[in-house]
Amino acid sequence: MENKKHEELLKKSQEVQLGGGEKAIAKQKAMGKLTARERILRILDEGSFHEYDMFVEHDVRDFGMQEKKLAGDGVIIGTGTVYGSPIAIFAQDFTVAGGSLGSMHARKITKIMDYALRMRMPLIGINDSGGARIQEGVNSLAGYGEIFFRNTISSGVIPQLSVILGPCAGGAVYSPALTDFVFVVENISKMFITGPEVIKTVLGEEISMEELGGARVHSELTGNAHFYALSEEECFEQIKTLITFIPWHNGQKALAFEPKEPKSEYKIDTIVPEDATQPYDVRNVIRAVVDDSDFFEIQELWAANIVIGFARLNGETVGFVANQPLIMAGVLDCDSSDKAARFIRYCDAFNIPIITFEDLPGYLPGIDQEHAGVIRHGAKLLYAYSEATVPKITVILRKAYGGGYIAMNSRHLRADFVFAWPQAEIAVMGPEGAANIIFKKEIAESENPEEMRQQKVAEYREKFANPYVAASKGYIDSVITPQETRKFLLHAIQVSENKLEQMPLRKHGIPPF
Amino acid sequence: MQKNQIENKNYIDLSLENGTYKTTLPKRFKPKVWKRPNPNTVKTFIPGTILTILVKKGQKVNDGEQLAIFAAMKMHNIILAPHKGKVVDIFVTEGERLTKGAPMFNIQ
Repeated sequence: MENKKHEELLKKSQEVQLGGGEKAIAKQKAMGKLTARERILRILDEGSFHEYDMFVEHDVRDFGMQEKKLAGDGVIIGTGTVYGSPIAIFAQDFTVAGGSLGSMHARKITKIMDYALRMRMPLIGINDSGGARIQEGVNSLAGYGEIFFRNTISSGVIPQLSVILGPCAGGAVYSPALTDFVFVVENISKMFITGPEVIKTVLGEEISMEELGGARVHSELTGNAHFYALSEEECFEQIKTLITFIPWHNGQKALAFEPKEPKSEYKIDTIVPEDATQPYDVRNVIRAVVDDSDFFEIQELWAANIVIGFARLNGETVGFVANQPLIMAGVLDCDSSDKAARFIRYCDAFNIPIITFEDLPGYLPGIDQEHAGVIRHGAKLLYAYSEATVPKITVILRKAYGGGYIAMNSRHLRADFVFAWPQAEIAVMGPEGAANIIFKKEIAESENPEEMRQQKVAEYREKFANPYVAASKGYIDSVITPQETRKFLLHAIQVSENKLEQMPLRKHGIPPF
Repeated sequence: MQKNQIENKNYIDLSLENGTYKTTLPKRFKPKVWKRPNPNTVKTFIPGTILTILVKKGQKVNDGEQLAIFAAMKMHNIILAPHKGKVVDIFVTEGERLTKGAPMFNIQ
């Protein structure tokens, strides 16, 4: 008797585990994709996955749907662990009715989202769906809305990761957009609000899915994605690595690792050229100071003139924001401001100290920048730094001019520690611009204006383009050598361990979105 | 495919407010050229289809007079004359599908 019941369970679960059947699985494989179940099992620690709602079925009685049995209603939900950290996970199963979202499908997703929020653990959502299940009409839309609502209220409470491993189109893209990190894979991920067919019908313009909303487009052009991989395997590694850097929820810190020294191949005193017009890769400066020289970059292809990512100091997670002189001289513009501001808010929400490496010539001039609203975008950076109450540490490596100086976590936005290297130039503007304005008359009236200009530029540089003017006002706490940087950072993190800063009581601020 | 395009050693000069810097530009870096808009040209503000043209070439129109009915996103939008003048040119025909920013009328 008992055996018979057990056999029935086994048979039923085997049926569900086959998803949309062998034919549909073969089709999924032909597209170069893993199945939903394979994806979950590869992300989670071996043997840790526990599935729920396996026998959920849809209840649609229209359009012949009553005849159709959809395994798990096209989505798999459950919990497991990644390197021992608890994880809630759902994966849409494209082999079952194209992973289309109906009301029970959505109810499974919202169930696991509710678990994640209540149990305060990270949520990973794997999106691979043709979109709304049209036969379910407005119930399908209701399902999306319930998901978006939960994404929003969970934001800043638990980490939410979205993995796009197939199409994710129409309203469905708003769930990933509301989460913290979006992972995409070349040739597999497709995200857009209106697809190529609609664009062709309405506009007569032809574009492929890949060109419209492929992995590369979202990683390089739109900034919608944070991690770009060439294969699903690489993507899963990125997910697992990210999990090691972030806490399970906003009430704790990320797990600390064994402290390690940076690798000796990164020699901090040889990376930054003294001549402020010469480029270098600021990521090497980060690698030269962090544990094991391990810097985990986020959004490396988009707005690359600013660098963001996680690393560890003395075993503890820190977030880095750094101007990148290698790309567009490291200027601030609309995209780089957006990119850094959002990351700062992430770090602040999840108790991750923020370290800023500053070397920028200012904002990108241009009619297109002004008309794209660089005022509104640039303001996000000031807002994010000002409202962040986690430890905030700035190191001025070289240039810090004008509005850029203020924006990059200056003392005036209540940075906890501001350090500057001896070659730092902290001034209201670059020596050339400043000399041209202050000594306009002398230069114009000189017999050799160019020679006079050069002389005045040199004079200004000597007198003002250094860290000591700012240091004399206490805007900078210490002028340090590059070699001392790690020591100062470790100490700053150590002494700000119990930082407590309370902001005026309010419901929430009104950031310049 | 190379993921990280930052191995390029061919630096260019980028002139900014505070001087000229050696750096690289992302592949997609192309500042848009801004053109002064011509107040005489009536352009589409959304992609759509011209349903009916209500004026003829050479006709005098008043400020706010109806020029055309333009269907976009399931709505019939009425295109109005931006100022008093003469319809010098009509660039569209009825039933024509237009992209955003396409010129429809020239009113002088």
